[in-house]
Amino acid sequence: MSIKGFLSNLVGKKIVMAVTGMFLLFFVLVHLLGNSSIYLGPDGINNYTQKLQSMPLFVWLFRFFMITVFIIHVYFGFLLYLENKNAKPDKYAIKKSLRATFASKNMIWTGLVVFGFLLYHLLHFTFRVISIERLNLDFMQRPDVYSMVIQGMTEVPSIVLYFFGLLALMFHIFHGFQSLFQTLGVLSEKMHPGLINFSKLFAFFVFLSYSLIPAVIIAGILR
Amino acid sequence: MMNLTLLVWRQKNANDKGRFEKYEAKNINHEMSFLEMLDVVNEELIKEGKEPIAFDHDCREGICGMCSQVINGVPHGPLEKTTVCQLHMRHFKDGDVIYIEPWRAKAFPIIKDLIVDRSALDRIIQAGGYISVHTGGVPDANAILIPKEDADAAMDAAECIGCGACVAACPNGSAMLFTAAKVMHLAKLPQGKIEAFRRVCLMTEAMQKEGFGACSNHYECQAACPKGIKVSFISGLNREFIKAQLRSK
Ligand code: FES
Repeated sequence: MSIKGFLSNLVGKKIVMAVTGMFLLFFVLVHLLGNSSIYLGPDGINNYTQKLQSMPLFVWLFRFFMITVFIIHVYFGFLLYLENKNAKPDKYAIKKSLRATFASKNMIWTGLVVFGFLLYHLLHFTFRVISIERLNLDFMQRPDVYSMVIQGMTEVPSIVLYFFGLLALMFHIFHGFQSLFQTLGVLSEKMHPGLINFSKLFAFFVFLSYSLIPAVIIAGILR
Repeated sequence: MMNLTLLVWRQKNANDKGRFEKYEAKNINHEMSFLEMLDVVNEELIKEGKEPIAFDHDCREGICGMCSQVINGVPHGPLEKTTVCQLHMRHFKDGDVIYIEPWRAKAFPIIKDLIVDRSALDRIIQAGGYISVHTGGVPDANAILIPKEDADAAMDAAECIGCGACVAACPNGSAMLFTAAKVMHLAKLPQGKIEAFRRVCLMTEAMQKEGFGACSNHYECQAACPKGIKVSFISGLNREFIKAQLRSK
């Protein structure tokens, strides 16, 4: 099958979703790991930022790769959403969901919320056009990401947006994580129930561990 | 004996808009099957000089896959692993209100009332759901060795009666469970393996061409399947598809 044939095949498109979704999931974990350096105080996260800034080629290649993966994921997500909707034009008067979950039925919406949240997050901390004006240097001449995050996480509107963004991400991962194994054909009958439970647990873990950062800041443990 | 209120989808033909019509089903014996209950209602309609409700059925013993009704929002009704023809009225109670709708999917145009055109499934089979290599005469028993798990899996997949409940249940109107059952039934056996890669590509292409959606892993299909076909066969189809891609490169 040619690349074109693969990308127009409905299983091919699902595989594209699964593979890009897998990379995005990796990113979520890598980002979480990087963020966790904030628990070490200014020395942790400011050092981490300085390290990253000292290898711009790597950082830009990584960003370019993630953006490409993200765009592909969004594009095929929309495509499949529209095609699938088109395949079921008439709705039932009554339809009981037997297995479908809130998460599985709302992938497009939770995905869109995550998309919006991501834009806000980039404007907030990466481009700093929302509330933070510039990134100062700390006393060791490192970019003071620590103070920036502490400041950013004490603004109520941001906190609310982060909460909903993470909630949407949780639901998205809850369906997406196990879905990716099914689509890549590695799921056997025996693994199935276990993986669905693990998927829920994993999504909740992502939600909790990301929320822990603002929670700790609000509680005044990090300041 | 019980009395029921039915809300049945009536539609003259594919172009008609269709609507629900209300019927009272009186003096229904709880030992009747759901289709026999509809027969009783139809008798009354005929007596009144009205058009009887058109619905598909053939074997009435759960093996042909012709009966196709969504009952109170569930394809084949509330009982798990049961076709409409094998669903008995003892699972309902006196005074129940029952909604009866046809399978709904773009690939299944309505012919009349509860009857839909499911020939799209046949065309998926025609695209590759067969074996065209020479398999010779009937082999001696155990001349071709097949691991027990493979033989079991092939038999499980072969249980699919092609009724289309998976499509009816799927929010995307996808025929993935059906196609997966047919693909895996043959891919598990030595005679079917030879054309397995070609088959999975052709059948999934045909499925798309017929206007079925893609699988979003909602797993509604497995819950609705009267034969309990497992979604792990869909995982198997995906695996076959990926193998086919790697092979052709
Ligand atoms: S009529 Fe044959 S399966 Fe129901």
